[in-house]
Amino acid sequence: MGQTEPKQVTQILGELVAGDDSAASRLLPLVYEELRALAGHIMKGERPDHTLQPTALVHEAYVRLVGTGETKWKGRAHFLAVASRAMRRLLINHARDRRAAKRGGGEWARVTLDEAVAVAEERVVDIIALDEALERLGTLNERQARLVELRFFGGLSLEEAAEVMEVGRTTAKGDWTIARTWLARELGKTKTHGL
Amino acid sequence: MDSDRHDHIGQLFLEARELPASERGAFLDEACNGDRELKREVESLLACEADDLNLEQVPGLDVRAGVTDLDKRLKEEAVAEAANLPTRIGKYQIVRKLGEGGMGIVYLAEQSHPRRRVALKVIRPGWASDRLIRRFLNEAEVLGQLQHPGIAQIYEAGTAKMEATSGASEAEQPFFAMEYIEGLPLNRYIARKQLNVRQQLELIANICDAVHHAHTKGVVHRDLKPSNILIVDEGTKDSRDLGTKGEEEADSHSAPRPLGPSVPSSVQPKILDFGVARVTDADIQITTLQTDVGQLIGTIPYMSPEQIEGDSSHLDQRSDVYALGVICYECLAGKLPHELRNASIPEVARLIREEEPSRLSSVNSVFRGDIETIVAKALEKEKERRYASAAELAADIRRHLEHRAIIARPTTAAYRLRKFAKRNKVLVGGIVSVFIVLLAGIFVSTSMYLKAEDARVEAQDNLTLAEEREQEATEARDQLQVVVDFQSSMLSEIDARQMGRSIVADQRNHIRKRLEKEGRSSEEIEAAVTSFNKLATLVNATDLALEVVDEHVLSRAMETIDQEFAHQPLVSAALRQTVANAYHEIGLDESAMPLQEAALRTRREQLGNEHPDTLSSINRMGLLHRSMGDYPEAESYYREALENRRRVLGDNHADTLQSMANVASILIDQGKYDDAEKAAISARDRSREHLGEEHNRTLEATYVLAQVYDKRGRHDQSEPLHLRVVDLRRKTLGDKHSKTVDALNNLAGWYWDNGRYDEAEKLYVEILETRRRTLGEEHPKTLRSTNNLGTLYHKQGQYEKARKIYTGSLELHRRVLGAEHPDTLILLSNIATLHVQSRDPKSAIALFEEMLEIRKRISGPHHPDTLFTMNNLAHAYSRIPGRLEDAERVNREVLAIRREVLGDDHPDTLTSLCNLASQLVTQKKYEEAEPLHLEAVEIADRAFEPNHPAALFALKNLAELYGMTDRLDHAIPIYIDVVDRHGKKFGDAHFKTMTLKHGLANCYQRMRRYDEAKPLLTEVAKDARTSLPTNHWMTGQVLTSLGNCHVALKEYTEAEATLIESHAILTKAVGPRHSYSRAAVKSLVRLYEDWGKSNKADEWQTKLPPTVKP
Repeated sequence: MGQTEPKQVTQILGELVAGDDSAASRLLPLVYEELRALAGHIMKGERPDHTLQPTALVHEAYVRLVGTGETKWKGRAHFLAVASRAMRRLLINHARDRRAAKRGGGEWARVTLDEAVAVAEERVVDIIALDEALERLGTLNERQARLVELRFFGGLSLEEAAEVMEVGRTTAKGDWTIARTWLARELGKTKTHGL
Repeated sequence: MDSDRHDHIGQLFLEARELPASERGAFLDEACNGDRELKREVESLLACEADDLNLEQVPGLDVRAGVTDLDKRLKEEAVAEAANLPTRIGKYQIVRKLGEGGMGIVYLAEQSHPRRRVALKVIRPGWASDRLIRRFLNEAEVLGQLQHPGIAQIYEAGTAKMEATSGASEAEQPFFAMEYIEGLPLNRYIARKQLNVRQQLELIANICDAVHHAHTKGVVHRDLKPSNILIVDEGTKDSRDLGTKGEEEADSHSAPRPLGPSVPSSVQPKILDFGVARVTDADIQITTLQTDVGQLIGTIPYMSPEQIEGDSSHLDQRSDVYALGVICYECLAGKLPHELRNASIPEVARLIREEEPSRLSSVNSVFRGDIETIVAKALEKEKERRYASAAELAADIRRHLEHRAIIARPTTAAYRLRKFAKRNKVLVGGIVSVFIVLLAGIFVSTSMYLKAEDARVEAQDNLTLAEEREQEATEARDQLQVVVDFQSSMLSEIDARQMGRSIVADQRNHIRKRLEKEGRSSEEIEAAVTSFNKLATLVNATDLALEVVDEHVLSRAMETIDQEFAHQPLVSAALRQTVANAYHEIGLDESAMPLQEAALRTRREQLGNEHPDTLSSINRMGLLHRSMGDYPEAESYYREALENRRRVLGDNHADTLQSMANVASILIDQGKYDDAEKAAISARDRSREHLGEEHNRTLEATYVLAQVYDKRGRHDQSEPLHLRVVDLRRKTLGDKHSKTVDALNNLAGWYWDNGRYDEAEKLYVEILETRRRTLGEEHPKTLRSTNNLGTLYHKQGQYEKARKIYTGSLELHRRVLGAEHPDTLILLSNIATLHVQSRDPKSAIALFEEMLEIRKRISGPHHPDTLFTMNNLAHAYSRIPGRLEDAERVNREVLAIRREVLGDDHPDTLTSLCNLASQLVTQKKYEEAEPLHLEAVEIADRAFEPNHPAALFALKNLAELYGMTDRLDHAIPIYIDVVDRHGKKFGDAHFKTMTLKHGLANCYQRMRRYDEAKPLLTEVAKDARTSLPTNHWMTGQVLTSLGNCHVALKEYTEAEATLIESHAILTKAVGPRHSYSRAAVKSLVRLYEDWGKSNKADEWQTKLPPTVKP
């Protein structure tokens, strides 16, 4: 954790933009560390947020690692793509740990008064089931899985995601519709099957 | 399933979903062409579209749920990292890693010389670029310039090799050693200590001070945020005892709390992490400028608009002011000014640059007004519109806390007026704001309360969650209590007198403005204002204000409470209690009572008699009854509170002991001195044993006991107690502390009561000086001290000194406290009394009648103050021969009320009895007077100490009555008795002792017992000459009597000298035409006639001026 040397990140991003795909694998651990550090600060109560919003976190990581200068915008999409992956890992690890803790007969998840009202309106996604479903979707259509990852974990808009994946907007939109419906069905199935 | 099939299914799904549901079946039949599996797949997707997966909304990590697990993981990692922990850096022994900051790692380290723990900051190994090192050293340089208790102090900066178990590193690493701070981050501290708004604001003002210090050194922090501000709290001792209590309300009933106690001085904020701070000092700027442009560091929510643009050359101290504004907002509101979660970077930038944050009052209405204005000014988008410095922000926060006008708004006249009024414990145009606050408060309260209720109900349903839910419920209720307390304090600040006048003034301004708007001529406007002023004099401003408060604020508040909380009896009770307190504070005790009763009833039913809230209501009930002069009722409530506290808290709990002191006080009020003494001794002894000699409760109880002794006339017993309280206060709190001054005030009062005027005067002068210095010339307590000193002179017969002080402070009283303030009324009463004594009873009567009307209205017809004024009025009437019947009538009224309310044995009743009897004597109604005098003596003997002033007074009156009715054989033994007692108690030189001796001597003279009269008069004359001011009428009168005595004994030479002296004194003291002076002349004439010097007798006879009224 801690702050990575921005020059390092900027340089790797430059290689990514230039088409060096291996650069992503070098960037990932850096971003992951940054995200984990940020999340850690929040969880240790150094910030008042009750819920860690991955999207905001990814953006924060970007500002901390790269900055917001105009010259940096080219690399942003690439960064976010990597960050989405990192975020997914972070969330999954976090969720696995929680599940392990629950199974151990220890603590139950606490429902907080102020959050509970808001969350109840939404369908809460079981993050681990989602991860597994996404894994399966990846074997069927890698592009669709990646799109979900970008939007879901990285908070990218459809247009941004399309740009990162270098596909047209229409394609992206179709992929998005198919993917989320497919996932909804898969997750519903898991639920009814009581996995 | 393979990927082609998946894509095929997807494609069909996309096409089918564009069709109306009715056409989808046919489309799929055709497209699937008999592949039933394919069709089923597509159909299942179409079916799922309805219950769409919300993938736009990321569920996020529930932090609270994750804390434990994640903490564990982080700890495990910390253990792993510890293996790589360096053992030593330079001369510093590494203890453990504290954390990682913006550009390095911070270790806890130990230094041997001097021996201390330091926070050692080094650049992360292997990551040190030239740029980082430059910035690192920059930080060290910056920090070195800063010396402030609110900023983490740097001890040393340098470079050193790092040693680890695996060996030493090659390169020198930059490090610096700084103050190691153990504290909680600001936001966590506030949450943990549950700081109230005032405390939070004080803390933030202190943080501003530290930031300002850095600014004066040219340092901008640029990364201020709660986690960068640690709060060190050294005060672990009893910090709850922060309330203050004035001695003038010399008792221990609980006063309504103000906004809450202040943050103790032991709480110190420490600002960390100047790592990214930029030195605006020119030459350092050049070296850092290039590396900083386009670089955004710091946490986004705290970034100012100029910072979010990434242009560091535009940053200055006002960027920190912005961050302080965000911090302040976040502390108070519990959320950030902008909702940044889920926002993309350009959106975040736009929000911060363009969007106004939601106003603080939308979060909680308690912030409406100053607080949100101050925070909004700090959060202005254009830095030119912000506070120019952190110091200005701090100053405005403090202005608000002190109820002075803040600068953060264009100051309109109405606004200034409001602030002025508030500073003087008033709400002027604030009626409306009180109203809004109250109502808004109720709505906020509703939602909070409902949450609390929900939580409670759920908790009952779900045992596993019970504990947490209960806590949530308690928290919500506490919040509610904050709102209620706040309202209470707002309302208690209403000063109806001043408010009424302000309403009139507002109205006048309003008329003037409207006419100006209409373009009227200045003559017309003046005419209108003049006629308004005439009308306004007909309106009683106080009544007007009370009506407004009652009708528009309190009654409406009651309606709202009735409507909103019909089903929440406890909330309703809390609010009723608040409104009852408010009524009491503005002097409408009659209106307070039904609410007070209802609040108490509900709490008894819902919470039982032992719940703290019920106890608080019981106490308030006692207070209210006491305030209304209904002492027996008050006593029963105070006693109930005491019993309940005994049961719940035990006999020796501080609250129980406070209740005990309350009971003692109310017993004193009722003249039940035996019981009062027992209660006070018990409270004092228990407090001393269980809380310590120097504890506040012990000293309070000691004071109550001293009061008992004083009331019983056992002044020798009370003196050491008063002295003890003064000594301990001086020792523990210092000479200037308000409680010390309060104790001094009590001791001075004791000296006064015991005729030790010189000592009293010395103390009053000290008190006045201290208060002038510490509180200022215009503070009510300073004014009261002034009044005390004036009254002391007054009582000693030094009328000129008294008059000077009185008239000098009357204007201040009227201006600062208002014309109808109790203290102003006391001052007026004293001035009126001076009138009486300066033989101007008519002026006195006018003043007393005016005061009586006010008293009756403000305090009610039975209130002790009202009765006191009636007594004075009666006294003034008695000085005008034509109004003696009025005097008698008023005296009888007072006596009847006191007999009924206080009982026969109360000292005040006794005083009334004596007054009426004396009055009857003045009217020569001796037959009616005698039984009253005898009753008075009988009561005094039965119910009071032998030397109690009331007993002495009663005896004196009886003696005088017998003297007047020529029953001298009855009078003389009584005189001898009372002279003896009085002399023992007050000394021979006491004015009253002298008067009594003079009276006794007169009796002797009338019985021609000159041999007994002469030594007595000689003695008194000697005392009078030495102890009274020169040319005092008393000295003259005694000398006349002595002269007459000499004449009777044919000691003409002595008689001549004595009488000439007495005439000279009396002429100067009361004027040549006064009956005293005339009596002296007559005595001289008789002397010369007896002496055979008829020419001298004739000469003096011609000097006898024409008769005037005595």
